[in-house]
Amino acid sequence: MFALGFPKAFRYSRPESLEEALEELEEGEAVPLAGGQSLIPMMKLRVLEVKGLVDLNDLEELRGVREVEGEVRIGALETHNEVATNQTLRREFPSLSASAWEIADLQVRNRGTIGGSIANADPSSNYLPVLMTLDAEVVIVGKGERRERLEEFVRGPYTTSLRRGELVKEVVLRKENRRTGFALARRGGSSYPIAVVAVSMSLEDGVVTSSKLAIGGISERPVSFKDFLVGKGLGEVKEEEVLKAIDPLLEEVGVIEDVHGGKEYKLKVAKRLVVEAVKEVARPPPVKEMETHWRNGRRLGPSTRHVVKVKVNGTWLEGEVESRKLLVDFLRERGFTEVKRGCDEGKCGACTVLVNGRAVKSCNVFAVQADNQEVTTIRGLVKGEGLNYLQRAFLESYAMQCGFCTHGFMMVTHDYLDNVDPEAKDETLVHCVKNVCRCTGYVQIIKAIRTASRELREKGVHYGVT
Amino acid sequence: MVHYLEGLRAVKGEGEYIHDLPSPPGTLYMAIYRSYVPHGRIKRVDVSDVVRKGGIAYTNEDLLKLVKAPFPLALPVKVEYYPVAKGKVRFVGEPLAVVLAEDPYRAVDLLEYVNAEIEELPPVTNAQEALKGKALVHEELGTNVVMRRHMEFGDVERAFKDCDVVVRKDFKVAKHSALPLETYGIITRFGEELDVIANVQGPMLQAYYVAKALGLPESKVRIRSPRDIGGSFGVKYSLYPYIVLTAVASKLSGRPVRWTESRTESFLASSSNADREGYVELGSTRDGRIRAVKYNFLEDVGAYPRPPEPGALFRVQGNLNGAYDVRNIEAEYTVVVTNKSPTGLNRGYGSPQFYFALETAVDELAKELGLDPLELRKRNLITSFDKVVQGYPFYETATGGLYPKQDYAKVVQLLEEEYKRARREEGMGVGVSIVIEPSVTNLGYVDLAVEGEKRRHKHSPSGEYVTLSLNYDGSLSVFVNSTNEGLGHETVVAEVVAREFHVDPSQVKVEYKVDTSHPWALSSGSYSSRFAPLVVSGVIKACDALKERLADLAKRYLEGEVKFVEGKFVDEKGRSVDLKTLASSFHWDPYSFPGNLTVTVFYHSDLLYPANGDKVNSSLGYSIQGHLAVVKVDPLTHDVKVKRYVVIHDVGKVLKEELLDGVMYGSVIQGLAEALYERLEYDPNGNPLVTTFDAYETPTLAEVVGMEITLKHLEGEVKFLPSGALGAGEGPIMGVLATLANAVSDALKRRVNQVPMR
Repeated sequence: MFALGFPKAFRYSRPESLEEALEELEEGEAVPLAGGQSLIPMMKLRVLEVKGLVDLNDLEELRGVREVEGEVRIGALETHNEVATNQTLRREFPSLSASAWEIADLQVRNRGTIGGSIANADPSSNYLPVLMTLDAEVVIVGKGERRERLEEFVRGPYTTSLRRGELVKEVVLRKENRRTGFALARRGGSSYPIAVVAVSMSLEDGVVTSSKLAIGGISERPVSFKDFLVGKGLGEVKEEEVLKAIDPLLEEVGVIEDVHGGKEYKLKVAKRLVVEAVKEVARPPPVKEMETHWRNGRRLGPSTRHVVKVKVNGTWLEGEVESRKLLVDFLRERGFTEVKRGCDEGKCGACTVLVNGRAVKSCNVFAVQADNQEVTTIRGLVKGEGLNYLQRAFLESYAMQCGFCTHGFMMVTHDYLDNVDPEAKDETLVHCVKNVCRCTGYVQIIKAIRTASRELREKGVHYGVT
Repeated sequence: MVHYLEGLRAVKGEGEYIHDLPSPPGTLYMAIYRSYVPHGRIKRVDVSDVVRKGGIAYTNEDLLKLVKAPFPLALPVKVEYYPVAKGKVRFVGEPLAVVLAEDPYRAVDLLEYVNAEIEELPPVTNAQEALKGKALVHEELGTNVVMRRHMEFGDVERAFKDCDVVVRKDFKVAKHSALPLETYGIITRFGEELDVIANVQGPMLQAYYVAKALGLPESKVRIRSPRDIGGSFGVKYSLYPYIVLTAVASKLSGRPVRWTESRTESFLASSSNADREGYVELGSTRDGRIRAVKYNFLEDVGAYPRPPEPGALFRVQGNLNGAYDVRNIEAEYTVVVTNKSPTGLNRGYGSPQFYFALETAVDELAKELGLDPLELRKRNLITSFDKVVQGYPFYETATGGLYPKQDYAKVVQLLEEEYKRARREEGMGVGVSIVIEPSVTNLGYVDLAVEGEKRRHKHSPSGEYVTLSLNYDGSLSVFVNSTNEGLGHETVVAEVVAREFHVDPSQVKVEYKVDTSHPWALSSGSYSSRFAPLVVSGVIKACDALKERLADLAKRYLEGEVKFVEGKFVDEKGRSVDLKTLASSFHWDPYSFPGNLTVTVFYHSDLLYPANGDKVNSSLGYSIQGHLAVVKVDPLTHDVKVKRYVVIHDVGKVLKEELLDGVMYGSVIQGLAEALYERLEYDPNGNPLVTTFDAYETPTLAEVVGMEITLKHLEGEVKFLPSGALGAGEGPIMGVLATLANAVSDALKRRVNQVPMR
């Protein structure tokens, strides 16, 4: 059977406390739901079948970044955008910030979490190589609490040491003065990375005294190497020397060949990235701190159906839905047909709406997750008859042809300009607005985003008709 | 505010797309159970478990009972192409059964209860395997070859013999889909009559195929499209098998049936171009005069030669010499079937593959001759247009094409300026190509699949109906039986009519959608860049006809000869009557003002006639396009970054520059995607590897930020068309593959022979 974009039925619950969540996970056949940005697509593609989901998003215990005795503890529910922009993490672990920032797109980073990501243990995860080079540890809660080195926690592709009834609670990093690098390559922008490389090095007078290099994406499990380039002066080290040093290490790696490339190509890409990661110091994204809030504040016991209440464009809509009903379908069935469905994998972004003011792919969240929250489409951003700044910019730039992707683009652009980078600089744009358009070649869309940015900055008013 | 009707609907979220239309009461949602093996004999399809679970389901055998005949093919071979598998499955994704339920989630759930037993057969997974014929996709043919055509124009053998230099250049172009973001959607009611709403890209042959398969007279078939279609690029031509599926499901269930294709299904089984491989031979004199060209193409059309295939080979029949004055041309085409999804229309229909083959071979010849690639092109460019047809100057190609007179030298001169300026640093490469862009298909070219003497009928459909009315209040209404997939057709028609009648565009209501209850032609639809040259010419003809009728009415107010000046009819004495008065007089008092203020015209150009032997004027317009690309290639990984792209072309009058620019930017990037990333790949066992955007490696704006694209439009006069405009909808994709390959070859100092380049 082929994927048709609808998950199978499951029981959904939303506990109020960690204790309650652990009980539900222990008793039933449920799995935890954090950001869901990998889990939900897998359910829609029916690669994964689950009997129940325990939504963790109301658990404040799993939130926050804390500094404790020379350690930094990152709550499992910190979203990728929070990890990318958190002040402490930027300062102490720039490669971690950089890796979080290059995950998928703005919408996925708004929902996806660091705990969810490492528990998923995708071989091409951005985080794993970085966390390996930072000697990260994972705090796991279940009947008790245990702490495990990340390298041991990740067992293989999509496999970890997590047992039934357990959760990732925190990721723990030790503060150390290291130079870190991060580099990633993907082919066409919609694809997963071919290779992800991270490096951390301790230096004395510019000479590497200890180091760790990790490469993800090319093998079943990211690989790490100690003491890479030890004894070399980083200032003078030449590209050829780095390549020479990496060659023998890569010989041992079992490379997975897939649609993105064969062994030879993937190894070349990995080498290119090693050079980049060594030469360039990792830089956190040039944006201010971001925070996302997905707490629903309403406990729900496990059930395949729930009564939900969602505020859409200012009006509360109430109804009973199947737990598996995707927000995109919930909205479209109620007449919000500007929200489109363009793919089954949560990639294209045509379904993007604002949830609590942040861009979210409505095909990548369940309607029940939007319970007690505010959803906004373009119609909710317009007061009266005229067009708002985004609509004007898109129209006047002729930023559409068939118009099918337009709404999703306007929604993600709104979040991008509002919360990320009002100046719409190239370096932020390419990591944020990654919706798919098949008609325009993006040229006039880029123009529209810049036009909207200019108007926003010059007039300073973007809400409602200006 | 700008005048852009479709854009306004898009930013307000008010577009009306197929998936947005409400379902009629009692509608059942259809989900399709598809073959999971590439090739096999169907032992059993059992849907009884679905029924036990309270669902409705039909097996292939149930469905086939109501299908009266296989679809008519363009090839005279005994292949039976039905909307569901019959006897065998021939590709992964071929429909085997359907399930109906009240809710789409439930329909998908019920698919799990379909049981199919298939005895696997060895698959034919590529064209070379197909030629070997160890396994046969259609046993009854005794071969996997469904067409061989050999064509010769001029004296090719002699010309090659006389050449100082002959180069042969091999090439491969992968299976690719332009993949519109909106998937297929159909809502069907089949009672006494068949009523279909679907996002087809025109009524064209859809109605014909559907009526044939169901054994219905045309009078019992109605096909409509919604107002907006979320992209098509040719892909939405291949909806007709699914229309028949929904029709049969509706008949069997007695309920309206709705089907929405999923993205995964669109990757598996919608439409794509064929995998094509082969070679080009070019013969030239030592000083670079190309005297002869030979094409050898091997085309893999997948499991069935789905009509209009193998038309992709013949779409360029009139322009097989490209932009060059070459009179000796040989073409040898072989079409095979394999266990992959059937191919069909895809942006540029055959042209990107064709120009990839030709224009990379021209670079190879330049290298052989030690000539600059652009210089070689200049030496062979067509310079004289001395064939006069119906009073207009053309260059008549050896294969029957009529290139209208254009300033080719000017385009090349501008290209040369860019070429000289292009940055050539370490690791960078510069590539050029010159293509002749065909527009407005003469469907008669499909006949070339059959040798001349074996053809039973002549064909030349290419025209369009336009209906225009003057309403009682002086506003105007236009209806065209075609589709609006984002090319701004409503906007442009409104502006053209407004200009003709000297009214504001807001006074013109344009309906640009399919409804076979209104006049339509077999050629009606949006494809082959036919809007600007043909439809707009039809609109202008309709305006002329309506003005003539209005002039008759105006004579009741005026005396002697009347002329239409700035929205009014004026007589010799300077008295005038305006449009609104005439409209009102006729509508409110037809007794005193008899007439008819609705006109329907059929516009068809006499330049498009049936094929004569292997010669055919396959398109109405041919326009020159010069391409230049500057790329940077990573020396280690060979990953390509396109720094700059230039297209200089002459499509005659530009009807609306912003829309033309948009279409061209989009076409450049679609070409870039095809050249560098996207490919519908299968594994060696015939299983599709690409069912997601991730695997397809679709570009996002990240690949475009920082890339400089320059477009230059020359607006040469086109007198033989009332619109004065040649086609541009398919745009630069025809040259992008070759240009990028030439640029990357330049950077790597070795020739790139295939796309996508990996």
